[in-house]
Amino acid sequence: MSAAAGQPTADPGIGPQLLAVRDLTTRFVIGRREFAAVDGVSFSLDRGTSMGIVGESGSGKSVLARTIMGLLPGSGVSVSGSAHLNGTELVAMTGSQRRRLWGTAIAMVFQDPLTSLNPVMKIGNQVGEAVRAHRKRLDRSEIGRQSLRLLETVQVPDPGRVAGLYPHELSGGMRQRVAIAIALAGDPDLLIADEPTTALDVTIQAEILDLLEALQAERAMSVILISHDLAVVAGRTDQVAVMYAGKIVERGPTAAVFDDTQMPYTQALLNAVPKLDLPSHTQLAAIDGRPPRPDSIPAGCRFAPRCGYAQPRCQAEAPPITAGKRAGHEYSCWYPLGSRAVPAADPAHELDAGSRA
Amino acid sequence: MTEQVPLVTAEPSAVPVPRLSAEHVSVRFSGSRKGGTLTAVSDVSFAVQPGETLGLVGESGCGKSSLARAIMQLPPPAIGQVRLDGTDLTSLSGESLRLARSRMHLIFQDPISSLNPRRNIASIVAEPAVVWGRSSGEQLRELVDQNLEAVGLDPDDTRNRRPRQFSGGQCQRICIARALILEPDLIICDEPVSALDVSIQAQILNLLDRLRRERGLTLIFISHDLAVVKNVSDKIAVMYLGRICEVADSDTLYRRPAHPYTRALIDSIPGRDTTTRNSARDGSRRAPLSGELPSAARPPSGCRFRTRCPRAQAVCAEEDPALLPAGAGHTVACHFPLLDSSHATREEIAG
Repeated sequence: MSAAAGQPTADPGIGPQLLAVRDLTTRFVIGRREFAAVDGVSFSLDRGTSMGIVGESGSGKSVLARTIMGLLPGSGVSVSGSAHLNGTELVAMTGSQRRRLWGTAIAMVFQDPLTSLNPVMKIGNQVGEAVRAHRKRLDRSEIGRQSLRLLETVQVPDPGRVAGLYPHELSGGMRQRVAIAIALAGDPDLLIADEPTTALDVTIQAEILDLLEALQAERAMSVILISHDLAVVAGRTDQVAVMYAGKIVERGPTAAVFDDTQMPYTQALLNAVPKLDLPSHTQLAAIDGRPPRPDSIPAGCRFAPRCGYAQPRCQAEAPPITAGKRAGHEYSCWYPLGSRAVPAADPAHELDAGSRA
Repeated sequence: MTEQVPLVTAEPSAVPVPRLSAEHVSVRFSGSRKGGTLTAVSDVSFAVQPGETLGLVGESGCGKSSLARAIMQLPPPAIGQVRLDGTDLTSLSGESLRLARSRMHLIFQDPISSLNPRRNIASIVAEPAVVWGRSSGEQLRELVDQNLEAVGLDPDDTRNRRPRQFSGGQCQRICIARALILEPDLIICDEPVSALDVSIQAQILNLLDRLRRERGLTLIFISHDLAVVKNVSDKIAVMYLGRICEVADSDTLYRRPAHPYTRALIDSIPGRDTTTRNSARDGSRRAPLSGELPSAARPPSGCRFRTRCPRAQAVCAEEDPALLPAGAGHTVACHFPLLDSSHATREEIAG
């Protein structure tokens, strides 16, 4: 299998599917206890398309990304299920097999660009290092030229000057562009962006999201965009998956998930965002409480303790994955919201007291 | 609330004395390299009435946090006055300044790093009262419990634990409890929800607004996210590179923004067009602003926003626009504001 990974990706036998994840589970072992941060997740991603993964802190979205990428700690973790990238199984790979994929098949951009860049190395050299890692036989001037071209690709103004600067001399948005340039150096098939704009201002956030979208289209690359904010992903990706407590609770084409929301959690995430067109001092529909800790997952539906629509059945039995009306739309809920617009969660549901530990 | 008679005020008018006002405030930092100075806040004036919330919006580096510190006199501004109930804080020093400061409290962005990790929650929340000798013993314990309850935490479950045992949202509640213990008149919230998940963000915003209502607090709410500020504020001041470029009540600001920068901030809010999500595919959506905030050490001549402004003309580089009225309670500093008559032009520019 690993020999096939070296073949050109345009092999007609491979088909449109780039990534197929089936029943992927990532367990952390702490002492004698064991808990699943990602629990039986399945999805697939076609070549040149994008997917947003949304969920609160602790929902397992970053662990999922790191499992696919192969960036988990060496001990205390067990991964089961499968993740095929270009037909290659990722889960059973050794470290050196993984390293061959990094940059060329799959690359990642992180939330905090300041910590993902080397503080004592000039920008040009950092990008150059990535270029050299993927194409060994280049001379120095060619590496320099390619580095500048990459900085241009990510719309860094005046790349020649920026190449001579250190990370601390750049703004947060500029640093994130550089981090993206480094991720693109090996021309990856899949780019995973984990909260790439969470540390940035709204204006810069819009620019970076537009850039990622443009790069995806230009390079026919697949993108997984991870965020805690549904609004960030809305309208930017082909597919959306909403994660809660280690599971995907709703997934489908973006239009289906937003227009025909089935899972109350998805609805609650949408309602929690302040709306500009409502008058000031409007009470926000906060979601009561917080996600369960991975070592104390409730029985039945994991969202039931915070759900405004929960019934006895929700606490007893875990809801199965159910297909929605539109192709590819699926959700896990016993009492889905249906296609009609549902009023915002009832006011009693807003609880500051909800955080009582 | 103690009624304060405005004994010595500059204005002899019948206008009520604002809880807090800033008059021509400038904040400067002496430069490190060439001995130059950086003007982080320049000539900012505003007023907040008791029980009102003033929102301050702008990007990182626009001077909003420097302004917050100048209000607290940490340090006092280089130029201008800050008045709390009519008293000029910049003229105070020593004990009288300390006393005035106890009526104001700051809440910061990162709730976890603003709590001492080695102290338990009860002693963290009690500290301001201890410092001021306001209460002790059983009475203090009760006061702490009351304030923890007010922010939605269970005192029995919270008191003896340490900050690391709490999530970001809970730590922010603890910070708010600490801010409340001296019963301040004014709370300045500096990006209080920016580090939190959207679902938790909504809880904290609801809490702050409820406390304002119940206790008659005056809030200054600082954020880079206009949607967040809009929700909690009565009045919003938009800052750009150390200047206020537009002030209006929050609904007017959203419905009829007059400054192109305000417009861009509104357009930057993600997810406003979930219903027209395909616009991205055909390229009809563009980031509303391009480029970065210029350095405050070398602000552009004339209007500071002109380098990123879609409406900039030659005059913008020459003349600094003054903050002029654009309607009731609405002021804007722009040579070519987006006023009602020019809506068509705005559409053309947007298209």
